[in-house]
Amino acid sequence: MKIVIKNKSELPIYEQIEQQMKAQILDGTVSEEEQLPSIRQLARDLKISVITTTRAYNDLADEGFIISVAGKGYFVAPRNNELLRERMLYEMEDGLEKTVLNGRNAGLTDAEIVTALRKFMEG
Amino acid sequence: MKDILNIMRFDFLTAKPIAFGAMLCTVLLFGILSMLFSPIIASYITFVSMIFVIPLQGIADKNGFNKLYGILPVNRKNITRARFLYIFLIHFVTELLELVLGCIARTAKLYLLLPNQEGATMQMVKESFEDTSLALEMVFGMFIFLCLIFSFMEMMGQIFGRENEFKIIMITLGIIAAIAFVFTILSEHDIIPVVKLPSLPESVSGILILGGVSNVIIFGICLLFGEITAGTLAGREL
Amino acid sequence: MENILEINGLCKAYEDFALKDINFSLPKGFIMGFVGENGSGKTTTIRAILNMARIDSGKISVFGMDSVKDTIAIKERLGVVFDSLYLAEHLNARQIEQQLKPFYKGWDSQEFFNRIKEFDLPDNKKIGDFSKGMKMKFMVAIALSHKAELIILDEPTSGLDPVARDELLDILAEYIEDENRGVLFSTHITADVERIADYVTILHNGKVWYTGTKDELTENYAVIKGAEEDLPAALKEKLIGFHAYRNGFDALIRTNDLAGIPDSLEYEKASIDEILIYIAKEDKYERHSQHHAV
Repeated sequence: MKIVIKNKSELPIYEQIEQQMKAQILDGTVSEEEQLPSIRQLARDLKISVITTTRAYNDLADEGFIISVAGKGYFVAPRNNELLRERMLYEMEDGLEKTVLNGRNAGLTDAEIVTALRKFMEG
Repeated sequence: MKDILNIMRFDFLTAKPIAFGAMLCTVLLFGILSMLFSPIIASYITFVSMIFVIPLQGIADKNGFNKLYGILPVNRKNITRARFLYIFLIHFVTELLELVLGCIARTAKLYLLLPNQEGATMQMVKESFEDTSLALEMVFGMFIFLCLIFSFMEMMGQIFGRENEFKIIMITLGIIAAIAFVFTILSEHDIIPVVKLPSLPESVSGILILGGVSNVIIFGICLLFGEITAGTLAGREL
Repeated sequence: MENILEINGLCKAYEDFALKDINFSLPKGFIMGFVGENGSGKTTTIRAILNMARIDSGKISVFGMDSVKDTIAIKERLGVVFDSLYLAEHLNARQIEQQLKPFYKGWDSQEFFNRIKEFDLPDNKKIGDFSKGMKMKFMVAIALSHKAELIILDEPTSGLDPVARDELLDILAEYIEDENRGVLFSTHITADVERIADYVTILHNGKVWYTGTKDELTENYAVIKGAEEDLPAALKEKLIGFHAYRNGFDALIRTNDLAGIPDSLEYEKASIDEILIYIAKEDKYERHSQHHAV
């Protein structure tokens, strides 16, 4: 897990943490069920307030990216986690929508777009 | 009680690095002189107390010990009391040291090593080694005098501020002189009967008992001064 | 949530200055920034917590104990860092350790010397010859050596270079990893608390202007700028520290009041520093307008 805090960013620090953690969970940089640093460890490492890291973890847990295990700490949610799956599907649909839109704007027919997608998936 | 001992230890450790060398020199110098010339000289060692007591006040003011007193888990009155017991203890220890040195000087008879044993000066030296009473009176006298002065100065300095200390000492001495003057005038004109001071006991054992009693009284006075000062300061903020 | 420090209705009057009804509390496990301009009452409040200043009315509890009645038991578990050293400057760290050891039941010599080493402090050099940053770290080392559960810092960073200030923040971030501890950090250099403080209390003229989480403070206030003619009169009333200049104005505004402001006005989130500046300006402005009214 890699987190970089920009002090001069317009985004609040807790949102910076959330965005970066989400991105790394979604793209698999952080493997599922990996243990995350504790709220206080993370606050210490980033030299930020405990309330800020607590807020970030709470939000991430609410959205299903991470889970809290009583007495053990926070872990990346397993892939089969309903919420996380939903989230990933949403991300996929979002991407597909853009793909289709871009393809149509470029003047491709739907069949051509599907072919392109299949080609892309076969690598 | 533990508080008081800790603060006394604290004060001693504060003064030690500054005072230790000077103390060693003073003790050695007066120790050797007393061995050679007169046991009376040992009583000057009492002045060692000056180098253990006087710097403390400056160090405390300069380094903001008030803040330290504010954060230490110690009863504030005990901090004040400890200073007076510290002053007593330093004087008491030097007094014991002088008694020991005086005894050694008397038994060692090092003056026999000096040249010109038959000279007039040598006669005086030899006589001084015979006069135990005078030597003891000097030791106890110095103890009473310096311990009273220092504990009184500490009280005045803490209550009225160090900067006013000198003024207050002068005023106090003035008052004592004035009272003595009035008494003298009054008794000379037979308005009040002449007060006769009891004479000192002749025997060595008598002087030793008197010295012991004076130690107890001075200890009581130090406690009293400490209590007065602690009571006064307790009403103030640090 | 259990409070490690709680101040209720604290009042303290001096001839030329008074603390008026100070209320705030610090929950266990967090860092509170205690800010305000010089002379706003931060040091007096800290002196009251330490029972160095006698309180006129109100109640202070530390670790759930009364600051006056239980002051000795409190101080056993309390570490304090002042802006200047409070120890004999002709002594070295070893000698100071000897002096302080017997006062604390929980004193740990091993911890002391470990910290001294960790903080790069020589143990054989007179502490009077330490730099300002070293003196500050030395006081922190003392607090850690008797396992203080609450550390109170009174302007520890004034006169410190940025490197030493950063080191202190590192130390505090490590300290607070233990959730049974707390830190009250008084400073007028708000950049120090901007990042690591969980809570902020702002004092102004002897009164609490704000106390609560830092996030709430910075989320609830914004700096608004623009041309004065675009500013509706009703909105102007709500501004704090209104400052007009030839080409426009700037002021502090509660984010609640931002709804429906004209598009021509710009706003951005306020830093604690800016909030302090506008509070001070508001004060002047008020005095100014009162003056005119007379």
